[in-house]
Amino acid sequence: MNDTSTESALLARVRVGDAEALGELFARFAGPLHRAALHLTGSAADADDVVQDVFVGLPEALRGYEVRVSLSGWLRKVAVRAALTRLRRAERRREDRLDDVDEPGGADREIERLDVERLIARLPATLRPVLVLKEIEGYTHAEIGRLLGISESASEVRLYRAKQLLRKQLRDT
Amino acid sequence: MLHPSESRLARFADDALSPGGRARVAAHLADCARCRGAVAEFGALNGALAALPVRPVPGKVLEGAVERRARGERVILPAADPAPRNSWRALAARAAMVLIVLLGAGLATVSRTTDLTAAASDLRMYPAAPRPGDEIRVEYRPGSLLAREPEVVLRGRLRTRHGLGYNREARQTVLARLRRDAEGVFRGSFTLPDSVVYATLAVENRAASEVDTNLRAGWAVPVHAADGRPLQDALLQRMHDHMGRSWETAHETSIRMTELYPESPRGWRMAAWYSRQLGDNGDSVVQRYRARLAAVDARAAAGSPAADDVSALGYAWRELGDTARSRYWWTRLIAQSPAHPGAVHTRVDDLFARHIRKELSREGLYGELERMWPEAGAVHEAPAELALAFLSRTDSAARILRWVDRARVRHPGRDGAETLLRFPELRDEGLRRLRARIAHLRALPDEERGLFQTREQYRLSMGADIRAAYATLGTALVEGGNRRGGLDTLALAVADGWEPRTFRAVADLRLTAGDTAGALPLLARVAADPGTAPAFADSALRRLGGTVGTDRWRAAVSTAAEEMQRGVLARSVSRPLPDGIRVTAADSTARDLREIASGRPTVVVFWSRSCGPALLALPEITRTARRLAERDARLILVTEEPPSPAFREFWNSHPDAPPVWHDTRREARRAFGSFGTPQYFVLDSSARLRFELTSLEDIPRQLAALD
Repeated sequence: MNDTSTESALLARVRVGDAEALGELFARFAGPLHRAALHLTGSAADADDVVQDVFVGLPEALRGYEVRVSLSGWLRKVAVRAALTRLRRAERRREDRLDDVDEPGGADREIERLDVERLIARLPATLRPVLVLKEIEGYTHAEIGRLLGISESASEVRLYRAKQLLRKQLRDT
Repeated sequence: MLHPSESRLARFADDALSPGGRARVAAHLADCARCRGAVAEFGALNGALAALPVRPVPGKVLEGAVERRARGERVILPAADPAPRNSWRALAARAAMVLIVLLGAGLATVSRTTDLTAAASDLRMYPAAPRPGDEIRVEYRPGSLLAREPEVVLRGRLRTRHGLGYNREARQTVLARLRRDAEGVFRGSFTLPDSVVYATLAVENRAASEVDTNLRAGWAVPVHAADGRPLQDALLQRMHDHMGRSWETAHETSIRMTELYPESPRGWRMAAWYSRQLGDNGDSVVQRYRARLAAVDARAAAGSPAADDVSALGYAWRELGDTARSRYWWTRLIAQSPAHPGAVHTRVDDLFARHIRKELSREGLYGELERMWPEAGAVHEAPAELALAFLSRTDSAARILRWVDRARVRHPGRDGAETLLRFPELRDEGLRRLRARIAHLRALPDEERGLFQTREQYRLSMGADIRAAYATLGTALVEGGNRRGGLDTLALAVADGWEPRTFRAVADLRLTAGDTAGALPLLARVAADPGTAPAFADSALRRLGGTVGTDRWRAAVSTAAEEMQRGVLARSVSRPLPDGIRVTAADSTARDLREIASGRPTVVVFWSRSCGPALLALPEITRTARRLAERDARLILVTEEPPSPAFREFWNSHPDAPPVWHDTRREARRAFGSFGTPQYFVLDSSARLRFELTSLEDIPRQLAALD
């Protein structure tokens, strides 16, 4: 259900901590948030944690949400920021987070989805967020620049570096 | 040979180079297989990235979140970009919205079926994501519109996976009667039939004199799969349900389908189709879709896709201009599932093309359609429609009747009477069907009442259909030699309503029959209509001959004008437009809509440049605005799109278009209860809403009636 009044009623219930309403919101929106978190952090476990954190904090965070903004877009941005925060912390700890993604099936020479997911997870942490935000999440370079604190042109350069690296790795696999 | 850098090739694949740069790389690619290969790989990579799926999130994630909150844990989230807050404009807008709701609450007795008064209502369903055949519990908290009712009726438009686009032939069903409890909440439940994948709901009182339509959006019930996603068929039916009433919602749903089911071509097919319908099909959009579809296509080509997916690939590639790829999938579909609706459609198109190329005679065409019918007739109307298009007087009555009835299999409302009347030996059957149609329409079957219509609105809308049927029946009777019976029937066709075309047609028949006295009031009605050219009066007088003098003619026109005013005003409402609806001009200057609309009658058109029908209507809207200006009325456009350089550029390329106001906060849309574009509303000079959801054709007589 996508109509404004039903959504407003649902949000009103979430804001007061209604667990059932939180569950409804989870059913509707958690999937895309999890996908963004998974590819940004490169780890399924981290993605689970990011999404769980988002839903723990949502009732309070929603008080700052304005209805005129798309709810799914707003939620995705919150999740992206949470994932980036987690990623920065992880980088500081220099943790290796490469292999949580499922094993690829078959040995087809075409570009397999799971190969791509695994290779994204292996991209350097400076390149991966730009690729994920631009090509999977659909952000513009200006938005990416604001999220990551880099210039638009730096975002563009990193995107093509990431793509070259991915292409090379795909050819090597 | 000097090759472009890899980065440059990747940019080429992304369509991110300047036109000059793109041309230089393209020239190089023409001679360089190595770089062509690189570009293809980057394109495939883009497709693979875009097709990465949204997977179900483990249930433990939600359970953990609920447990942590229950323990009192809180997380401060990194806020998303905050919306502008605390400015005086934002505060004023909020105050305005409160005012709108308050004013609406006080209007229940002034105006009937106003969505403004229902806007505060809320309908909740449990479970929120129902599975096929689930029982659904409903809680309805009414706004002031239905608050005093002891019981309300929940009606639904139920769609199976075979549901057709638009809602013209839709049937509505009473799903439940909801009873009010001590807290004023209406409760009840209903069970969706297993075959239903999507439903739209509305709530009304027992007399169906008030309908809460949820601002004309209704309440949507998409049936879900076991993995928590809405069924693909549910999303598809949501699109069909919004066809013609909100193209934007249908388009959004198609995009959502590609997000939820990125590996299925069905969503890509619909997204490409809606993008074209809405004019969002520039080169970069098409390139993006092509890249994403290519990844889906490659997987499907290597596997054993279901017939629905094969069909979708055929349609999708056709939308994206790749006829070779489209043909590949159509051929595969016909071989794999010749009775699939997509295959039937394609086979019929092929028959038509062969006939046009003279490779198939007319008799050969009918032979092929007859052979196809037993397996294809129940899934697609195309064979019957093609057969009907080629019927001629040389055909046997049995063939004509057979194909007319076959066209009814999927559209029972199409009785084919008008077709049958073209053939003398089937004329009596045509008349019989027309009479049956009139009897059916007069019975006002409640399942055919639109989901958002009150019983009175339904009666009025059926009146137009009944009069049209009387006009056809009367004309057929006159042509068949039954002049008296025909003229009596035509009198019924013009007894109510205001349709100048019918008046003119009936007047012509009366004049042919020598009935000048009967023709006079009808010609006078045509002359009194503001859409009629002034020269019509002279020609009408000439046709009436010497029996009608100028004074008698003037008196008849004057009487007709009063009739028109009474008839038009009977369908009017009278509702003040609330203060405080702020819209902005291109330079971001805010104005109160009521202030803009005061002093002169004003036509408000909700419009969007991303809506195909709205774009198509713009030239006629512009002409209407010019005509209204001549009679001291105005027309304004209201769009939800915020002011931007792109919008200004678009508007500058339409210098004659009427003034446009930006309703970025959707305050105007909510106040008018508008849903979709283009939609037309008429305000009088005191800025009272007088005609809702009207048409460009009706506006001149509505303004004349307000004079």
